[in-house]
Amino acid sequence: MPELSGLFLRSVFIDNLALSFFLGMCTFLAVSRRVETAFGVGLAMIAVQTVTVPVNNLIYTWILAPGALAWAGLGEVDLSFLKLIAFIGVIAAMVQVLEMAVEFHVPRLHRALGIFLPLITVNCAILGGTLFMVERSYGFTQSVVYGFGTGVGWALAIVMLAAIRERLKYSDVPDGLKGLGITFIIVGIMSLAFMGFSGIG
Amino acid sequence: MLAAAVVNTGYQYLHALDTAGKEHAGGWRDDFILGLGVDYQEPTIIGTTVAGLVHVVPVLIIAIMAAGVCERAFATQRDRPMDAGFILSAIVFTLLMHPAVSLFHVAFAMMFGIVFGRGVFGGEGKTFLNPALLAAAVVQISFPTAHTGHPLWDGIAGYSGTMIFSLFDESGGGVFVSADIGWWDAFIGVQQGMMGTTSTLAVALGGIILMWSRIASWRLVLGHILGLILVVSLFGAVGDGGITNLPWYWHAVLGSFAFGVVFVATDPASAASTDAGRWIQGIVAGGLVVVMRVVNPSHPDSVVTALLMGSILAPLIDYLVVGWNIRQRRRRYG
Repeated sequence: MPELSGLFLRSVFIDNLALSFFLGMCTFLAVSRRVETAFGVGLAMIAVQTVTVPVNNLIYTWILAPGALAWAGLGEVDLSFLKLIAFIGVIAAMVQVLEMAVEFHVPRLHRALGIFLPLITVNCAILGGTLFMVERSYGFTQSVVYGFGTGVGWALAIVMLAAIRERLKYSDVPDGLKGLGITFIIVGIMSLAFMGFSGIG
Repeated sequence: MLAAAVVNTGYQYLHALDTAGKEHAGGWRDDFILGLGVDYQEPTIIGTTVAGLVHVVPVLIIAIMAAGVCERAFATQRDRPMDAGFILSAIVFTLLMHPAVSLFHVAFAMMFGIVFGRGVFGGEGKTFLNPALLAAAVVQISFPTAHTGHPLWDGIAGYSGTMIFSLFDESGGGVFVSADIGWWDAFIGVQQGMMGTTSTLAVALGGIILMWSRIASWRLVLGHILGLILVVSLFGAVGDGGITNLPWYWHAVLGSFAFGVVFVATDPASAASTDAGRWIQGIVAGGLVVVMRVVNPSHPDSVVTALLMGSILAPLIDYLVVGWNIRQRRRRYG
């Protein structure tokens, strides 16, 4: 149990997908103008990560990994070249379901997120989470915790960014830096603060 | 504060030389002191002050110059008079530096802090963090050896500046005996550390003035201390010896904690602006100081990064507190 909570904290703070690996930047920068929408996309991210990472873990361990098909008598088959396309398929299906759910239950959020909800499909943070899971060979329980943790970390980062951007409404940013430029600077500073966690074993 | 820093740094320098049994340390600062004819062997008040001045003043001048150039550039571009706040940033930044810090690092970090922590957001009060804090974080993260890598300050009696935390981790309470510092020494500030942050006593005096004149929020300061105590007792409960068992009253007087909390974290532009938010930010950041000190071996004294974390969290805390208040009132008044 302490091992799992350690993994959770690690995936939220030390290996924060947005601020340590700079993954999922397009959504991160585009949907962080207001805290409310940022919170919504953060929740969507948590939901998608918590489901896709474990599902991809199952698919990889039982079908795609070298020798994984031994239960079907095909021990020598190595399907790992299919992993990218399989993972993306799972993510796309998951996002499709999520989008329908959001549109049905919270239409306001659906309008606010606009194109960025379907675009979570190609959000590199999600694929990145899955690939990190494969690379670090997490087990099933670990991948549930890791998926949830990375989702929470990303959501936390985008909500923090959105709050800072809302506070900066009254700042006097040079014309050339307005909008995305200043956001990049803020993200850099946030990442600097998260560096304080780096090096924790 | 500056005067205390000067005397303190000078004292530390001479003390370090004395303990190392060296005639002089080498380097330009040392040549300068020798040139003035200060006698190392007999530390006098004048000698101590001169040694301190030689360390503090160059860093301060470089910091003010670097900050001034950037501030000037932004003021010209905006067609506005210069704002004197940058001098305060430079002073706070100087006090957060190690006596042996390289002047290049000072200039670089100060410019970074002023440009990206203040200038681009529109100057005083329009930013969301403290430029001095950002600059200090740049020095600590980009040049990790800047605060620990000087041969003279490193080898003294087995401890140096903020390294005391990792040493405590290895050898427990014995480090205080072998390094010959008691709690009162640390409180008054004769242990090694950053130039202006070692003396908790001086910080407390300054803090009382700041809080009495309502420039600094007492809620923030108390919150940080509360967070510190809370997390230390948590670690103490599950601790396995080593640094987890360092009591909170030591945590509070070692390193830059006291200075950071009173002079850096209370900057109204970078802190939470609701009362409940101030408590929360204080407790979170104060707790983070301990967490990073205890579990993160790569930053021996992580006050700077923990406070930076606190100030980037502040807008979110404020947002949540304000939202909660609105909901409460709606429920109360319908």
